[in-house]
Amino acid sequence: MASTTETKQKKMLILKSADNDEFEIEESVGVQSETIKNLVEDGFTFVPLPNVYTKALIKIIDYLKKHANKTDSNDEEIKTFDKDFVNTTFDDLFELVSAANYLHISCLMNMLCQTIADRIKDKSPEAVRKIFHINCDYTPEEEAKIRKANAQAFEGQFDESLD
Amino acid sequence: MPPTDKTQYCCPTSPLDVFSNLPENVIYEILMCLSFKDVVRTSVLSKKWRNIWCRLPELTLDETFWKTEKDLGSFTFYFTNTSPHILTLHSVPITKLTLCINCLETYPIEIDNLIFFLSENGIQHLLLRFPFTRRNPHELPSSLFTCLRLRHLTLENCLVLTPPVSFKGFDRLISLELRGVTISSKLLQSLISHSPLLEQLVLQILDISPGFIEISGPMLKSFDYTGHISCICLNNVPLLAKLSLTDSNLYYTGAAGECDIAKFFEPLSTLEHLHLDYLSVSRRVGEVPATIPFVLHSVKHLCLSGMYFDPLEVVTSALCWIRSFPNLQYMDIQVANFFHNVLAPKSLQVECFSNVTFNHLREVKSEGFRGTEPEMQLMELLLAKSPMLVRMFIKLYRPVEESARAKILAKLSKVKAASPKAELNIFLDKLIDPAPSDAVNEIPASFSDMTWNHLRSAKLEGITGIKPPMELIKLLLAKSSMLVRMLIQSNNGEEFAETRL
Repeated sequence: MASTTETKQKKMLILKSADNDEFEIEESVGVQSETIKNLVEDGFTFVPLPNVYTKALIKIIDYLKKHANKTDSNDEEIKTFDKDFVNTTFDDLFELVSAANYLHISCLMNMLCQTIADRIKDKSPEAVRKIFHINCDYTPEEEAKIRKANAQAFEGQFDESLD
Repeated sequence: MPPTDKTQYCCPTSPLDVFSNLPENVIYEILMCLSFKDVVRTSVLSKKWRNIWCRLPELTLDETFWKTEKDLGSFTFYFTNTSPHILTLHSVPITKLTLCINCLETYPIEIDNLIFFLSENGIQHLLLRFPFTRRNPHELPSSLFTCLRLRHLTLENCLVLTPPVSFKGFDRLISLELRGVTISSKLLQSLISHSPLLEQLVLQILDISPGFIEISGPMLKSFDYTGHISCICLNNVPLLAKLSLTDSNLYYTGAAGECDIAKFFEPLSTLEHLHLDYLSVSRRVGEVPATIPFVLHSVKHLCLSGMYFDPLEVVTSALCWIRSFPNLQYMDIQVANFFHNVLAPKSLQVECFSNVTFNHLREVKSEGFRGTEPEMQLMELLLAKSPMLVRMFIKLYRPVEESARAKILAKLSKVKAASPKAELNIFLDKLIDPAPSDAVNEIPASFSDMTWNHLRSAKLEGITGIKPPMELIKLLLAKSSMLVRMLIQSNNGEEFAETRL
């Protein structure tokens, strides 16, 4: 924990979530987000984030803090942190990916997209629909037509599991 | 905003389709991490998804798309049928294309058409990987040279012939990677010198005719070469920070064309990372001289790999390189194979280096370590002469026995480390066969008269729990009066730490 005198010397920012919770973080931690960086460059120290809810913001601040302290020797530690970070439900992942997209944090964005992709790769369309509650609005004839047009993509065995 | 999905609106209890409602750019990002086959299958999810795959700016076409369980057709057949289809359906310019072919019986003309199509549509990032062939590599079409917006180009196992006369270079190219490509040295040189923004160059070219290339790159930051070209001259590379030369029987050639190691390295005043392997170090330089007659202040990382045959040679060359880099911070020695143990000469002993200190060395890593005498002396020397050393990481050659490891650790622990922070890690990554029972009592007996007065931190990994290592741990704890930290990691990943102050 930083001592109070240190806190005073460091430039701080306040982030406000969509549920009106406020979080104080160091400027150097916050500017890893392009969105925050642009605001800071324009002189803002209070940053309202109307698209980011508290739950996601807490996790993202954790991520930014961890990655702000990257050194040559804590590589392994960060890898473990990242692995735990993405080990969560799809709902959380989508919430986080939307927030990361809004905040323009590209390394987090890449990691989350890769995680989501890894979980749906090789899955059958039926399984993907069920996992994400996607409502199929094709008629059976329409669907058959599309399958036929790209027949190759539908050949082979697919993963039907829903996790 | 009016609801777009009626079911969601009418049945508030049914869960939302969050995926389909993500911002479009996020959906693209996710899909671009998937194989093309997975991507195309999303077209059937719902009407909204029907054409999303046609709007992806990046495509990866690889084996997964053509290969099926009952693989009846060939790549050529499938590619001929699908690629025109893909191109006509695609509604945005493709900025990045990866085409990987592992097996190719005949070269379909559609590949040329594809490259032509990409060149017309402003491709920026192109990767073409063909299967390895001993003869008749596939010749790339001249439309490659009209892809003028290219920023990244990677080619594998193909033939690049003379470009059209109108070709003036890729003036946006940042990275160029050629692996197993057949190309004349004249064309290669001109490609490189006509790419004024080139920052990254990877060449894995076994041979070239004529066997001399001169590389000049005003923006070049990283150059990685693997192969047998005997003459490479680096000319006008004012920003070069990373250099890797491996597997190359290289004559180090200065600008004047003569083989001179100093003339080769001296102009590289911005070099920070250097990776050399055994062949590049000693084969063509002849005997590595005791000191290399140049000094590079910028070098911070040195990696020597594939060192083998003679431990003495490894150690002397490591030492003579390290002396040329006074600001070296990280040193990594990867030993491939030692055939015999030899006695280290007197010239390697700590006392002979009274006037030398490695003032900036922070980390030493050695892999494939066998504990031969020259290796031990090198490590002892580095421990004793590096006041800033934070970590020494030794990964043992696998068959080295636990009892031998104990000896290595014991010996190194006796050295008075110049740095108060130095931490010694000896690492063994796989379980070795338990030592034969007659080895069990060996350690306490042979080390009973020792104390380790300078050992401050020890880390032992891959501990199997059999008797010799346990005895060693007990011994270390009992006899190291300065020990502050001991970390033990058992072989199955379970970690238990003991701290003694």
